[in-house]
Amino acid sequence: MHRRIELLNKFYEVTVSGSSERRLVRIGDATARPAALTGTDSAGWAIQMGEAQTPVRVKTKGEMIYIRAFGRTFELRIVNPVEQASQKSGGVRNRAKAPMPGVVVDIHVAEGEEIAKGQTMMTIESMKILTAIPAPRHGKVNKIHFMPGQSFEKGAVLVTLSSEEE
Amino acid sequence: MRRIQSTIDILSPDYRTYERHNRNLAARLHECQRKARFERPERDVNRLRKQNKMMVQERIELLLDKGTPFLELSTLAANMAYNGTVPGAGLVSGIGIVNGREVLLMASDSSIKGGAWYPLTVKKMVRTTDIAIENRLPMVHLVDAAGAFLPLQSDLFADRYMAGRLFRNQCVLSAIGVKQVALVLGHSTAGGAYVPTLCDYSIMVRGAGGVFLGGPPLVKAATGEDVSADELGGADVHSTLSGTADYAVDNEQEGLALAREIVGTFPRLVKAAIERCEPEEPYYDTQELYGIIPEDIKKQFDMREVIARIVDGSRFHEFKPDYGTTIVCGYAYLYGWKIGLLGNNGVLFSDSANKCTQFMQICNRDRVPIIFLQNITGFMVGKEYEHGGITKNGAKMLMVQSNLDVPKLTVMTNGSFGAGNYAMCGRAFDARFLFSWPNSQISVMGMEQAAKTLSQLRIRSLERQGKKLSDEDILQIYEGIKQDYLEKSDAYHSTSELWDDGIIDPADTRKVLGIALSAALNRDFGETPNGVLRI
Repeated sequence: MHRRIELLNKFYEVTVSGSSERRLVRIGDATARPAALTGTDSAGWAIQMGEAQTPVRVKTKGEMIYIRAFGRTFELRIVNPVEQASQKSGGVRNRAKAPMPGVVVDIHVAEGEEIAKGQTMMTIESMKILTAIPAPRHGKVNKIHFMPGQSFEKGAVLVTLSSEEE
Repeated sequence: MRRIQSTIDILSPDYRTYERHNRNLAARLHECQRKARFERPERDVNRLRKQNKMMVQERIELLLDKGTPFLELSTLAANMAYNGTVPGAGLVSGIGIVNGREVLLMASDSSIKGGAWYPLTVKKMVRTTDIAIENRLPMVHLVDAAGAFLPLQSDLFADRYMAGRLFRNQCVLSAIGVKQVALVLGHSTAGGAYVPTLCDYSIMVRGAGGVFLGGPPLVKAATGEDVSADELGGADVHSTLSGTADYAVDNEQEGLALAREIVGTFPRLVKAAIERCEPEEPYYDTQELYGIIPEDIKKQFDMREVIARIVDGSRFHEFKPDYGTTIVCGYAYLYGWKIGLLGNNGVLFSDSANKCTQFMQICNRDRVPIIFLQNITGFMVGKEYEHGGITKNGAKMLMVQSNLDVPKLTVMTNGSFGAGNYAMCGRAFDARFLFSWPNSQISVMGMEQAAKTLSQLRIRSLERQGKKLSDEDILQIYEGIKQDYLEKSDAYHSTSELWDDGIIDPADTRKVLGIALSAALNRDFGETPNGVLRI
């Protein structure tokens, strides 16, 4: 099993291998070390790594895992490899395009306004359906290209955001 | 698989408006269901009590395993027909657990017109036995019906999918090895006599139960023979003399216990082998669905938000996410079973239709059952789109969708208009189960457009007859047509006519689909090895 985790603001690559009798844990490029996790009767666990042994309690919520061990609580996040990689490639979009031809019904933001990802910038009507045009990312509205009542073709740029360098 | 990142703000005014609206719709649904199940005229209840009969709901409770889920189907069938006097079409059907086995239950409700068969009762019985055939579900029949409702006999008797079809379906069930048990709790006369007799096991209650082609009055009229119901075709006559039934019991409780014992002898159902993993609850609260569906059918919502509140862990692998973006396709798990999902996020274009076709081909090859989440106004119209082959691409989608081997399930989440209804596996396309949300609407085209067209026709015909129409007259015509159109597009009308298998509370969608998928997997499906076309 291989996971990328975030712990105390640092990222680690963790690999667990071996059989249920003898597990090996490897963190990053370090040498694999034997580790054992055993259930205790009080619904908790006990972990042994080399000489060190301690009881642990684990609670998961989504990607977050809260671990109580060694007298303190650790917050650990499992990082999704696809999301991690897509953040690196910086695939953010500056333009919201029309998914279909239609007419602008309403505009909910002003040029220069700071907006959050997913916030509705514009409502359009097409094929009798009102569609909200969300912001593709956090940022600032640079230009609104159509006013209420104006019609547009499929793929037309409806709203542009300021590029992030500005 | 990645978790869907919801962008719903549960504190926003929109969310609260939608939530209030949809909670009201759900409350109305539960109230209608309660009435359909329990509200009966005192006179009818007293009549049953005098006959020592239980109400159908009490019988079902004794039949099913305590504390197990029961998915009732088409609870509101006939709710808009016969002036609302035949709730549930006088019949209860549903999937439940008896002695640890999934069964399909079909029980006449003799508190309604003595359990008489109306045309929609027959439609519901035929649909129920179709479900048993399609999903290989063993059946338990609780028989207590007076027979056909004579004033409407011509609407329920002879046609291909009418009363005869019920018996034909029972014979088909026997041939494909689906077991059936009947418990006769009242007089089963004429055609009705075949229901228990075509089962593998038939139990009759002494005194109340009777099975005969012609009842005592008919015998008297035909041959002059004087005979009591019990002598003619009672429990003891049939279990000791004629062999028409297999067991005689003293009362309903004993009969229900014996039916449970018989079901307990059935081999357990084997599920089709599909990809499985450990089930997991959705990460997002299913109750949040109330705040996602807008109060106005014209307002679009993101189907990913719905998927996130149905599937395991709210995890979803989206296929071709940047292509044909007006439809969402992808994989998820439902109670640990791998499924493919198709959900509308706008009008279907050529690219979105082709994406569906490609995705469905992959699902079919890889034995992945498909769930359709409908919210569709139709296919895009206009010169550019016709020249781009929109009709041809829609036809491809229909061709592949219709001929899938994997089980299909459909949920009407909002709008279902025009050819979109077909492409997204509407009723005519044999989804194993189809459920509607209370807000959903179905019609051949959107209301405003249809009402305009229809009122134009009416106005022109009136003008041809030389009538002078004021603006007010015209408005009145339009409003009248609109009202009628809205009523007939409504989910309550659909379910009344059995265009679905029931209206469900959106928050229950995951559970309902879980039971439906489990049932669908009782029938293994073939494999059609084929290369997938990247169309």
